[in-house]
Amino acid sequence: MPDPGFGVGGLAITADSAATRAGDFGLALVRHADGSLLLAGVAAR
Amino acid sequence: MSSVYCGPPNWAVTAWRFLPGGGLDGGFASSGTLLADGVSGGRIDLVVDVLGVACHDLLVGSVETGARDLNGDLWAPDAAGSAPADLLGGAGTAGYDGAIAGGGHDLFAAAVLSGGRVWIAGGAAADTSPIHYRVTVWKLDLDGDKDPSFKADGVWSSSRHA
Repeated sequence: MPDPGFGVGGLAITADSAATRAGDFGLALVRHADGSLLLAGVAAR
Repeated sequence: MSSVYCGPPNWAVTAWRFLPGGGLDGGFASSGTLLADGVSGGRIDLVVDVLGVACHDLLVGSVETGARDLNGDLWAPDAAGSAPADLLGGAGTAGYDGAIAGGGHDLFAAAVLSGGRVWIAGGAAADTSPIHYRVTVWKLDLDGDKDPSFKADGVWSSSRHA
């Protein structure tokens, strides 16, 4: 089940990272001890 | 009317840091998002894995250093998106070529941390053709340098390739 305490209804959507083109996607994720998350991948430029 | 992309992509290494509630962490890099282009002119810069190392995140991936020539690379942003002093020599990133002399393509697939070393598995091409990948394992220290205690120079590649 999506966690309603995360983002909106369990989903967090970021703005385009490089603004000019679509094509941003995450490939790896790590959770920190404080509950924060780091998502890493690519952004199209 | 639809549109299509033509030509190769231009990808930048990117990391997003989320707070526990799902919002972007405004204290990380630029409003929660870190963009790190690789070598100037490189278009294929990507992250394939993230490790937790010395209370920091270690991003593992590749950058394009020339025409479709990928090298391995590591990035270590701290909680602010800056370069921590205790990883990668304080430089924030460390790149290196592959195992095989003349190899033009190094692409990583997975990494694990053990005993203060980073083990990375992927492929390295034995020549400038990306279709000639060999299965390859790298052993690196936390400065991003290859560990010579593993094989001859910190790298093992299979002897067989197409």
